[in-house]
Amino acid sequence: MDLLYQQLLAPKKWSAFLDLGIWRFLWAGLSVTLQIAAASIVLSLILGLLLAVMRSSRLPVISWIAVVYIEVVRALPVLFMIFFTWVVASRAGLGLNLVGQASLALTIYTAAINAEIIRAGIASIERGQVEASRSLGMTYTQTMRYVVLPQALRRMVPAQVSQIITLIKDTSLAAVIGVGDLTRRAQIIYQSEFNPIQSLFVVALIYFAINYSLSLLTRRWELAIGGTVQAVGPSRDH
Amino acid sequence: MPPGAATAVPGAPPPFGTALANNLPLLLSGLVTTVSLSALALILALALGLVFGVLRITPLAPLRALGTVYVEFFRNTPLLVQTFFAYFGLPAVGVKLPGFTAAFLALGIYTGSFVAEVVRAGILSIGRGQLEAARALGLSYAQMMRHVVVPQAVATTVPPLGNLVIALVKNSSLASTIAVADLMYNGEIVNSRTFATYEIFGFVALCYLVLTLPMGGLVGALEHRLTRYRR
Amino acid sequence: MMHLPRRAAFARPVSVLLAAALVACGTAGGNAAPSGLASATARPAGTSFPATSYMAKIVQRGKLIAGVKQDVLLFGYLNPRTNQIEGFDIDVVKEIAKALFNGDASASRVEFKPVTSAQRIPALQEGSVDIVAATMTITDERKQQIDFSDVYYSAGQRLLVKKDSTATKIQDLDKADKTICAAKGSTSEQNITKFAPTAQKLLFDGYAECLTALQQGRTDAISTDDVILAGLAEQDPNTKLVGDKFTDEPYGLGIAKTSTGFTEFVNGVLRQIKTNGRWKATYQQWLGKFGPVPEPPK
Repeated sequence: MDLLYQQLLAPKKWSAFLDLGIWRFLWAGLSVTLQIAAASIVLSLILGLLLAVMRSSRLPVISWIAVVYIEVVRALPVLFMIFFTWVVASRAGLGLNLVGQASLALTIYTAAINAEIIRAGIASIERGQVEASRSLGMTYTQTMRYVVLPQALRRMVPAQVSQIITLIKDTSLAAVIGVGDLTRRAQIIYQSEFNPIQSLFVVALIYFAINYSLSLLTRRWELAIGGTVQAVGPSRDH
Repeated sequence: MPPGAATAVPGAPPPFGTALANNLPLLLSGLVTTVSLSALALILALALGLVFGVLRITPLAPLRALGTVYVEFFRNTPLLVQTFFAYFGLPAVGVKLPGFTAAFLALGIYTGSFVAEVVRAGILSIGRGQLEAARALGLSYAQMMRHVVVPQAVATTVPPLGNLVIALVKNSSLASTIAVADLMYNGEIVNSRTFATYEIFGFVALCYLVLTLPMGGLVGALEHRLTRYRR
Repeated sequence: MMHLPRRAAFARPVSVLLAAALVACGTAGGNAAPSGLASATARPAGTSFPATSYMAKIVQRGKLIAGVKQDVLLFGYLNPRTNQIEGFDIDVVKEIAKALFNGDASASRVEFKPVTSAQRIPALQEGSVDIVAATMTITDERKQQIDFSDVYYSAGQRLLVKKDSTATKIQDLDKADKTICAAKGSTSEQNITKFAPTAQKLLFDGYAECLTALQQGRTDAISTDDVILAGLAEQDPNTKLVGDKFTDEPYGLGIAKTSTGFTEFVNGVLRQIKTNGRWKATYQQWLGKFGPVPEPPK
């Protein structure tokens, strides 16, 4: 019991967090985390859109390439993608720094998931609506633009936000290749301060605050678009 | 400097596949570790998920709160942080777990928070109206469970659980960060020894594909059947 | 690898980093001894260089640009509190600047550009830096792409153990019940297999985890380049470096092959500082606490 007090609650284990310098140090880590996340989100949306379009192409070769990419990438661990990208990118001399390599790995991974979210979102619009629009004389583009996409995009939001939450958690894996993100900085702190429990807990709280807020926003959104909310998109990926 | 990035091994490189052939036993033992780690973590996750999922819908507010705290905390924080906590954090309070144990505990607790949500959704999906109707029709409790509750609960929970199993197997790779000799770890070791990155990582990727793709296909088929039924 | 900023609030003895920052400022300003650099082999500072030599180009530009590490504690490290890069490599570069600019190695004369290991050679080849001082080992492979100065630091693999450990060399740990920690896939790991084949190996992705493992008794020692070990020891004063180097990693300054005459010039400067005590003083400043100052490498 005394040991527990000493190790968990003792002031000297927490005193590091009274130092403003430590918070600045962590803040720098948080901005690296968010940088990687932001870069990956944006790039993976673009790549994911491309993949979704390829997948629905009439040409079997193009569709097939997209399918293989999506299924293979989704079957691999994110850590594997990060390591593989790290080793190959250094060899290829692309001039990417570690943050860039981590972002690239996460982009490649998330794009596959985005492609599926987009596909599921569009597919969730009942065929009846498409048929009705066409019989009203709307062209394919008009159907997509005024009927399908607005609804599909609204339905995709929960899945997209869920993916963002997963992405923010996955940025912690960049610590493993040496990126100075939030998780890595927690490690550095507890090496000199000997407070792994406290440091990891504080950092966990920061991740929690961000992700929980995002999930609350999703719930609000789901209620706002109301009615029968069908959560579209793959739930395979955590 | 990442292993395998240095170049210029003098002389012609050995034919493609030799590095893999020479190190196959090590890689396969890593595969075995991955599978056993995943299996243990899954059992833990199912147990915890069932308990906390039910807690989340009990009428007692404090129990519900406990369930909510567990679920929301563990699924919104990174598994890596939880793994480091289990391995590097616990020794501070005198609990020095070996890598394998720390890894499967962290993985099980993390995944359990997702299982709890699936369990909760599954139980809630059985509308109260159905239970009342079943009783009104004269079905006994056991009959109600057998013919009304369980089939629907299973149908609702099995596909998401399948997805969670896939995620769990992939997440087991994090054990490599705390020196557990799983597939990922041994793959890295062999890669740095032989520099045959594409061979070795290709094999590792293949193993993960074999572990997850069949399950993915199964889940996809189930989801498809379910969505069609719902529509 | 990045390190924690020293905490002002904590009552620890003044860190080497802080002291070093103060000393470094001092040397650049007042302590310069330009005349000491005049010798038969080195160009006397302040005299003009042949118009075609690379040195003339630098002098004309007005400053020396050096590629350095910014995340290697004690060698090339960006001190978050002063926002200056400091370390052994930095001080060596400053000596060269002094030789070029008549004793002046202030911030207007030297620009330190952070480079990663992968960028070291391309930066020279592209001409974005004049010289590279970034814990770079001289290898035949690299010699094909750039020139190296003479060895300015002799790194090598050693051991880091807890202060109360009785091990004094790698062979002491060559037992089945001993564990040594290193980074997965590093040459350090391979050397451990070579020099302590029966020891257990604990491998992590980085030395941060190794240090925690050492602190928690999961491993008896960490073994890698002494440069990295010194950085770890700096973070945890309850550890010590032991054992002689059992591998040899000669560090050299990188210079582009097209820089006429620069390599000879730099070698001249290095010879100077090795004989006039500057090398030893720099070593003492950064690494003195880890062991006696050795003789400068040849």
